[in-house]
Amino acid sequence: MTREPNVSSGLTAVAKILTTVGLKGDLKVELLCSGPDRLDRLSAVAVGPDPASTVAYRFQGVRVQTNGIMVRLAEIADRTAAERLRGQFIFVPDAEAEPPQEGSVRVDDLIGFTVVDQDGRERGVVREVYAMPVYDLWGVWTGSKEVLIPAVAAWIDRLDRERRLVVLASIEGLFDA
Amino acid sequence: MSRSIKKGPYVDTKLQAKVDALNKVNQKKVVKTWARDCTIIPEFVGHTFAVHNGNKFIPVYVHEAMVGHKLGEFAPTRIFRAHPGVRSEKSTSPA
Repeated sequence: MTREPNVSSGLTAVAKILTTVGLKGDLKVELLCSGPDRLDRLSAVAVGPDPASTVAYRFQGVRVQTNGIMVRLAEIADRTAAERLRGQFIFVPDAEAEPPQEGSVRVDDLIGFTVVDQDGRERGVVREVYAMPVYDLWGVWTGSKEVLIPAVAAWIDRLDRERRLVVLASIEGLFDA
Repeated sequence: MSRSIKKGPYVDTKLQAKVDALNKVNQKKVVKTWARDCTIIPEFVGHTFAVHNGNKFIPVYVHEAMVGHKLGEFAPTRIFRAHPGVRSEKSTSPA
């Protein structure tokens, strides 16, 4: 199932709360940003299941453990309070959101890009981005099926951000698999 | 217990034959395979394999760092995480 990102909310997610760890209100999170260092720079955050219904919290800290990335919020002091935040997102205002690194594109921005081959023939629309062990896979909807394209230079020639185009370097066998 | 050194790495013969044929004509195209247990050898570098994960074919582009690993390591069968559905800082780039 593909959900459209909410672009008009004014909030950008930086992490998703997966579960609670221990009795002191530690929250295990999935990163939706560049890395744990990014979370370390936060002070005030909004937490909620979606951008429309959030509650303000003070961000206390982040630590990386072998079993995942843990965060602490100042107002969450015990496991019971932490349990209520399970599955919710940690948001920052759009103005405080960090821009993507050079050569990268935000996943939310990429969704909806038209995929064309070297001849300019339309092949589909980017509908999803899947995180894989080595590189991402871009899910392209051709109109009848989803084709996965490895996000590597061998397959992706260039991104045209102005025209919202992904130009493929080659397509041999890609749309048959 | 690890595989005996005497035997050498396991490489699917049919897959190797297909890659050798492509290398001969210097062609690159996606090769479909179910051989998840096939070890990645240096001849595979630069090729893309559509590796079956039990449900669908996952394209795996092979580069140098992947030599010695199995093809199946790069086509997960369970964890298939997509974007969260809310606007996030997550970014992607054609590496």
